[in-house]
Amino acid sequence: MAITFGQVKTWKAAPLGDAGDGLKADLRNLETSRDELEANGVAKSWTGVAADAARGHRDSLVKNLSTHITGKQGMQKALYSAETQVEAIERLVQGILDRAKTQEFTVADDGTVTSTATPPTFHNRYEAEEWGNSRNTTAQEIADDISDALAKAAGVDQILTDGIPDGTDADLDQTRDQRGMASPETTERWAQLTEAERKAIIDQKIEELAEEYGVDVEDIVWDAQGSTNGYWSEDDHTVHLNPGNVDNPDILHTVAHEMRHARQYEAIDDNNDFQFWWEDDPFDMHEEDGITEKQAESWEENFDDYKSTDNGATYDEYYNQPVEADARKSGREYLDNLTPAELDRLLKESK
Amino acid sequence: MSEIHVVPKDMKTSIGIATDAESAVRKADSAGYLTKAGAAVPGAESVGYLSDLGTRWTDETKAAADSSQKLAAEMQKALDEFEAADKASGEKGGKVMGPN
Repeated sequence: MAITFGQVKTWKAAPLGDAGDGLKADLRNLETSRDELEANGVAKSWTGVAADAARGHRDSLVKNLSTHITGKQGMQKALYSAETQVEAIERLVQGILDRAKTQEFTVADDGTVTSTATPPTFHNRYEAEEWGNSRNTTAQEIADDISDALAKAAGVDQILTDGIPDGTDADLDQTRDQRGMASPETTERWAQLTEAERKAIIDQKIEELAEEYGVDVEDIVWDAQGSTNGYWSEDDHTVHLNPGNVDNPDILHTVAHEMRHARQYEAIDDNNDFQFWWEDDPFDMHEEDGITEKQAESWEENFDDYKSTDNGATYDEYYNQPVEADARKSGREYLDNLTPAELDRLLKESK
Repeated sequence: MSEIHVVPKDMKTSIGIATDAESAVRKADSAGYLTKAGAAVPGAESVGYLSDLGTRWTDETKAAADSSQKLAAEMQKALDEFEAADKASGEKGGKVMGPN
């Protein structure tokens, strides 16, 4: 669920910094203990079977402490980084609230800006229009600042999530390993964009991938529902996406994922295409991108016997089949490496 | 068969290190800091992860502290056994060589 302005209004930087300081102090003690155990935790002069067993015990303890310390160091860094960003959010929020109060607006917890000013007496309708326009402009500026604060908050959330070490939460590990995650900067940039801008970026990316893959895309249809993120329809060459996911940059995984399915079909077609010896082989373009004929054959077999929960397969069977694993890899690599600059480029190209 | 060699002074130093580590590690779970950090950013999805991480760190530091305690106990046991054996052989030697 998205963070609200009412929540962001109460965010505080200082406890994040204090937590970072607390971790730093604990880390100092842990590192000292770990280093002393490693150096002299078992007397070097002690020999014998029991001494060897104690050394094995000590080594395992030192290893576990080192893993713990590494995780804690990552979180400490994330807390300090979040502290700086939340300081900026606090300033932004204070500016929003001060301006709203001075200029007679209220800001609701859902971010709605409402004028509370009593309109003056106007001598003609032009004066009234001018006053109304001026109020609307100010309200829009305040609303834009609120959007900025919420975008920064989304970035902070991602900074803290990135600081969580692997092995803490199974779902988070799965997301990182399989779907990938947008960086805090990309998350913040995505949150700043309007829905129309996000859709324009998605359209542009699909157009570019279609060109790169040699695929015709007839349409992008926003009709995927529920837990379905999206799908590629080979029958009519359309990409289907879930409109409920536009707020989350993870949708760009789906875009790359579904377009990879389009490419899998294209590679299969090109692999089966007949040419005379003097003709160019259309499969060459796929080979240049690292796709082998053997891979295309395995995809063809997989599509002929596609496992779907709709036709009785288990989720694991669906999830782990070759075409899905391959498409997920494409989606993950795209999302993990996505930058705000790339989003801005796509937006610019879309115009 | 391996040679058994014990230097009590060195053993006592290592027992001290393992005992100190037990106490220091047990106090350094840091979970409370994560709770405070989570409370500073209500609504963030990461708050749940911070809570999970606090639980994990508490478990890990407890396990490491227990392990340090066990290591100290292993060394103490070896030292006690050595000192008992040394004392026993000293008494035995006294009987053989001392005045009757």
